[in-house]
Amino acid sequence: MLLKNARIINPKTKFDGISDIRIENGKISEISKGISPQENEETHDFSGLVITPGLVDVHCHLREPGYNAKETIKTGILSAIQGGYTGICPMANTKPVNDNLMTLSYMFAKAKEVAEIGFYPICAVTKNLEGTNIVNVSELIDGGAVAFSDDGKPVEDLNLLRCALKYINSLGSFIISHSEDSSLARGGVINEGEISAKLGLKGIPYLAESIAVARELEIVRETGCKYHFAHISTKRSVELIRQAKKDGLRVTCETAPHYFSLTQDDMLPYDARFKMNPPLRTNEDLNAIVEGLKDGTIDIIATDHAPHKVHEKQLPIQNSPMGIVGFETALGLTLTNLVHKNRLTLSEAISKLTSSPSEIFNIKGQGNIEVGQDANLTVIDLNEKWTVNASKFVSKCRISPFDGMELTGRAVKTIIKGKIFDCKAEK
Amino acid sequence: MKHLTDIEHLSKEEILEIIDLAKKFKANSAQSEVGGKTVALMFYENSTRTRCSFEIAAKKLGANVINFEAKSSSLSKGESLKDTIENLYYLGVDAVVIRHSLAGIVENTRAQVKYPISFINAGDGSHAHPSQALLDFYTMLEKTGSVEGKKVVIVGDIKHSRVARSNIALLSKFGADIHLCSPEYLAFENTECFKATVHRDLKTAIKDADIVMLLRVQNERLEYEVFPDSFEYKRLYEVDSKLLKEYASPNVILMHPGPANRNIEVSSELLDNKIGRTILEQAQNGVFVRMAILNKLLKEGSEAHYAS
Repeated sequence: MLLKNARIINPKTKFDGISDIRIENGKISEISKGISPQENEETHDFSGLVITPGLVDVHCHLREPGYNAKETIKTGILSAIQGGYTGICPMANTKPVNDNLMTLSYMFAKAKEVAEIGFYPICAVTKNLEGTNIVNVSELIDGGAVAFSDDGKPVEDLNLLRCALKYINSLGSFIISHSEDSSLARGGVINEGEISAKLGLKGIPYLAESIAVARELEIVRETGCKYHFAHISTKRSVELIRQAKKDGLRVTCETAPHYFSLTQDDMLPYDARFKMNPPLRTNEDLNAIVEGLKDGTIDIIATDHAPHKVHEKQLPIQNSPMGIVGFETALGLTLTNLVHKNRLTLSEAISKLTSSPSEIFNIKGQGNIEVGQDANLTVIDLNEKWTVNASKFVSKCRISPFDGMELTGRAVKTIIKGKIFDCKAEK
Repeated sequence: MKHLTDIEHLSKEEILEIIDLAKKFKANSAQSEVGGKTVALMFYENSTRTRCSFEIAAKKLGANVINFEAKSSSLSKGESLKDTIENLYYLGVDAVVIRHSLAGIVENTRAQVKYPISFINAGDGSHAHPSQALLDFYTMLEKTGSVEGKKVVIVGDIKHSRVARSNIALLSKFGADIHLCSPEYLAFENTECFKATVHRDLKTAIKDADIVMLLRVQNERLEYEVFPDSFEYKRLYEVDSKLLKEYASPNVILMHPGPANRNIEVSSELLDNKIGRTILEQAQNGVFVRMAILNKLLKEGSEAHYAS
């Protein structure tokens, strides 16, 4: 198969130029200008389009097993492909929790039925996410766990966290932190501030996140272990992690598109579509997130794709679950709010979605365009204007705070091991 | 005007129209225009004053009143508020008066219901209590003629108070000088969106006050909150006659949305004293103000009933 005339952007090698790509047996066999098609070779002309490494999402919730009415591994994967993703890391807060080999194997088997998407499950740090007993780490690493996280809630017991961190690192893997202090966040619905005061809603102070980041950084400093912070949303967290990196700590972090696309001022009052954890913050926080992405403090853009039943997201905001879906809007939001607003270069933005997550999560076969590598690629139209229509989402969760928003740029094809999937514009 | 969900949605003119009509009802110089309409009272949180007040107001207008028993209703069987209200509409209900512990639920449900039924917020969590703010305003006008430039001090559990939020919204529209006084643990976490002066010290707060409005501690909303006990609260924030005499304006008006906790936020002798009588007058005015609200909404709101 031959992909012709696209602009290739490969952040890993800093390549940016027009070139052709030949794919044979699911792998890239040739990259060069002006490759002539062989007889009967399937050829696609991608003039005017961009080819990047396939997008990799290190933070999503597929809900299966246990919450199949919210999403299944199948609908989740199809939604990811629709958004341009060729690799995903589902979190462990399923039912049963992904803290055992049987659940892990079940997830792999289910994923394989759908597509050959890169599937890299994250297992729980503690059994049943209870924060008391550490999982069987070595067994789960051998079973394919890419990393460990109790995401959805923090590991509150710092003695356990410190020990788990060292043990998991010694076996070559690492922990992803859901940084939150439960006593400060308890009962909170939206960001604490002007809006929560006005609406009479219990707030979640920014401090609930940054105080957890600060104390966990102290453990990282002491142990010297590798550590990754999920969904960073506040200015103070960015500042703390920036300093930690300067000090040489082995820390990385991610943010999600909603934290650089929306603030608390964009919420419709009491509308649970805007409810997620951490919550939408202030404009000052948003600017700090953008700055952190620009200067490299924030390594990764992850979706935190967290589907729920539509009617659950229509409940009174106090009773509605935290989380929004992200696969099908992440690239559009990144291009619209970071690249087209000249906050990040295209190559910088693409690296946060491809090479950077692959490197940090030690994922092979993703995040690079190179001869001999699996042909996991995303074909992007940078300039197509489209309107988010949540009712057309492939995900089961057809409700979103971005519904009706006009975006510029989207994935038009997702190529997984040489197999081309079309991405529809939701218009 | 079709709904009353909060003060922010009302114009100054609409507020004054309600006040004028309430005056007429009180003077017996206005007639009900909504006899035979049906009002459902849906109280999911305890209430004596507000519920009785709305019921009496509706009956004085010749409207039918349905007392919706929240605990025995289909809500306890899992039906959503939206579905319940749409059913009530088809049963012939013209307006629903809702009291609920969840902030925002009245406006949220209103936005979901497709039929022309009027929504009246009788208190939603810590968010809003617009009819209370209107009757407070009515009482202030009756006593002083105007609130412009008057020092109004709200004392007590500001943080959890829908009465405070609605009063601030209303009084700022009419140019009052608003002061808020509470201990740190019962204060707004952020005051940027409120045009008010914030105090911790009660004496400074009520200095030269024209109106002092007391609020009770909302014990039912203290889950996850920090609160010492009522004794510690009372030590610094109880208002009594001596304090008012010493610091407030000589003609100070004392108000309280009720229920008042004797010898906690207000001394018993002050409540029973002449100055405490305004609190009862507030309750009385509440009936006329709610008559005005119901008359206005039922007349303008549900003319389309059954038309579809």
